[in-house]
Amino acid sequence: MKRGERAMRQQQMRASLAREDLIRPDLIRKDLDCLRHKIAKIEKRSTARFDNTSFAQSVKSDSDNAHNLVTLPKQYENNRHNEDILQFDDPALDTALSGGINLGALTELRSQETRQTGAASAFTWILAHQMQSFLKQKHNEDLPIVFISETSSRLEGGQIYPPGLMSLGINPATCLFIQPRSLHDALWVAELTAKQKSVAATILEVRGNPQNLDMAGTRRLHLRAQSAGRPFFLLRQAGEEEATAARLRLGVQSAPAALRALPSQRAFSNSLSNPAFQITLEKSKNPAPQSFILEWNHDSHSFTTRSKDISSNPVDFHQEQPPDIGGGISLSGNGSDQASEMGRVVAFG
Amino acid sequence: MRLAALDTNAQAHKLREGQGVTEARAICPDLDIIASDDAADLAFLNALADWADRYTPLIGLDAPFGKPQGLFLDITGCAHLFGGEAEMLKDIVSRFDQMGIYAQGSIAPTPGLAWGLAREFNSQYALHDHKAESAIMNWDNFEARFRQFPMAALRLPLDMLLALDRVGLKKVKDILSAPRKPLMRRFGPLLLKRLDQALGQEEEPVSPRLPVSDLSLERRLAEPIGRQEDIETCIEQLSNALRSDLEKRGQAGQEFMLMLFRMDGVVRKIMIGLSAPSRDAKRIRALFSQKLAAIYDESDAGMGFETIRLSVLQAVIKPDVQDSFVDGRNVQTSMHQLADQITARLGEESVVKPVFHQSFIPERAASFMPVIQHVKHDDQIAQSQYYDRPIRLFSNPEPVTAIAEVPEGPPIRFQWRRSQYQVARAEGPERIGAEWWIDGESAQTRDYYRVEDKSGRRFWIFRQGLYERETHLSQGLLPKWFMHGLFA
Repeated sequence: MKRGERAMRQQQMRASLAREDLIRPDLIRKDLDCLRHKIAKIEKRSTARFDNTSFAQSVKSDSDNAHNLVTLPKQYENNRHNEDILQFDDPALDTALSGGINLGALTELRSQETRQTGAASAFTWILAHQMQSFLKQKHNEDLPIVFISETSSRLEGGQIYPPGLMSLGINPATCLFIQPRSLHDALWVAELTAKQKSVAATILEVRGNPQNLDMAGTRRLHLRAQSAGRPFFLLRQAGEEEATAARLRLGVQSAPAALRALPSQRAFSNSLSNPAFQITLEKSKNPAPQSFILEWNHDSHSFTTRSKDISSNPVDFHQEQPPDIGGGISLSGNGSDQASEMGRVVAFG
Repeated sequence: MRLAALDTNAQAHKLREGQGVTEARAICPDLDIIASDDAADLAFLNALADWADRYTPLIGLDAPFGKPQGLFLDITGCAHLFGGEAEMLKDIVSRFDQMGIYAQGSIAPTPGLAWGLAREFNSQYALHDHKAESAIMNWDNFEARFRQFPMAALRLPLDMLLALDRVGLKKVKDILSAPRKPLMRRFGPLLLKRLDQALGQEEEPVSPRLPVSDLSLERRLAEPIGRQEDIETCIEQLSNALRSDLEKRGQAGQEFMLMLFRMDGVVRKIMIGLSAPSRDAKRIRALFSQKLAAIYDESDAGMGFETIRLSVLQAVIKPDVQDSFVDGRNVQTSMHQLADQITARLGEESVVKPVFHQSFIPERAASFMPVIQHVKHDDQIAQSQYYDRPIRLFSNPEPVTAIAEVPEGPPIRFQWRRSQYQVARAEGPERIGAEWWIDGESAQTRDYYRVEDKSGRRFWIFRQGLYERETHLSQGLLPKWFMHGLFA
């Protein structure tokens, strides 16, 4: 009996502990938010609660206030002289990123689930590609992108497909793919390439949260990237949020794609055009995580931000018929007029 | 069981090759019999050939019918490096002796003569008596001795020797001036061929075991070395020396091989390939040091390496490019050097570049090829424009269960990796016909759809097989659905 009682008590204690664990992140989050707000006040930055819509408003109010408009860019003026910064040409996003993505640093990109890997890796590749073309403009150097992928990430999330890179507007011939057999080898290569100036950008893809890439491990990579002045992207496939030395961690998810425009300038409801990404600033200088939706145009090689509401109601293609198909464009998908069946075409004789 | 080979002791007891083991035991009851193992013998002979590589790069195995018997060394132009033919032969045989191997050697103008002489003349004793000259034949003095050779010295099969013996042809002189026609008729072409080969009337080149390298340079060390740093220093000195030779030819090395000759006769070979040809000593050293770091173990050096050789296995013509001031400024190591460095450590299949092929089947349209090979065949197929291909492709399409409109509608709902997905939008189909010339005529057509689910994830899904035309409900064959890739 006594033993039974003890076991019961232990179980209760464990349960209460677990409950505390459950509560704790909330408390921490609150404290953290408070602190961040205080810091933001000291730094005289906008302290709006950032979910996307209210943030857009806050930017608007900023634009009314000429004073803010002038001071903000100045703040980053010094920065721009020292380090290369990738800007999105969107004031709200660039402000949230304190000017843009720092290119001489370790940046972590994370996909929560394996099925989001497509979006995360595409976004990372696009960033690396931006760096590549930036260097080409600035120094007239054709430098390659190095992509290091660990075996398990390749097996689970699929191989990077070169034609897929081309459809994003990236030339895969200027890239070097490293496929090490073990994580240990992958980290060795990562360390080697991170310090190279002859590389435009390095992407290291890992799956989950391997122990070698903790605070100390990522710090080594960050310092090397910093001294070389080249970006290092840590692409985490299906990983948890983890404290690392990365200055910026972005959570990447796919967002509904843009609609194709018909010749009549109307959107074609059941179509998939430019890919869109939902970027969450999980770790940055901001008081609260913010989220943006970016659309990538592979022809103009640029991002456009879009507010959430445009695409939040994807068209149900089974109910809606395309309103207008324009001249000379055949109906795809749920077309009523299927091609009539053909027999096998047999060569003559 | 029969005797396949005999040592000198056994020969002294008048045992013969091909004798039954029982008979042999009757002659000599305390006989040691070891089962013959041709494969192991051949491996041993190969190791010896590696070792003998220090004398000449042209080494052929004498292993008729897979039965290893000896080594042919083509020492044309090499003997003076070792102080003349006599000294060289003495060096070879005495080194074998030190390794505990009984060897008989001879030097003669043709492989055939040398073969016969080595077997007839017991070099071991003669060398101890400083009579090495008698193991060496040249065109001036060969005739008299060759006439006295027994028939066995002509590399003939046993049954032919017996047949010759039966008609009283016991020595070479018996057939040397005999009419050729009857000999030919009676014993076939081999006898005269061997005779001509011995006399040099028919050419018999020594076919080298390994491809002979374009350029090779070696260093014999007075004191054997074993430390990795020492080996690397040596490599750098050698490649510096090779550089001038390569420059004279206007070439640069693409593949290099390092041979380390250990004191006890073991030879280690290390090969590296470069992603871009080079003759830069520092770079070659760096690559070998990567490779050595991965595989070298100092305890392996044993007593140390006495000779180090660096060869250029493959050289390509490379025009000289002048270094500019600008290049030196910010490029620490060029891309090729980086690729080489990684290749040397991780192996060539780990460092790859994409190649495009002329195929519409997605998994065949592109593949990855080691950078080293990529350089060699530079003729890439022109990249056609690809639209709407996924960024990630599963090399094995993963089966999904899908609900879709029959016959050609996109999926409405599907299950992949144990999760359900509701399709919000879809584009397609993109029909890709099977490549019957590879997959056979029964291969099925694929209809690819780009689908987006309710939360915006985009997938590339295909249906394999067309309704009615390629599948028959009556046979229970239905088109199958597969997940092939993830879009951005």
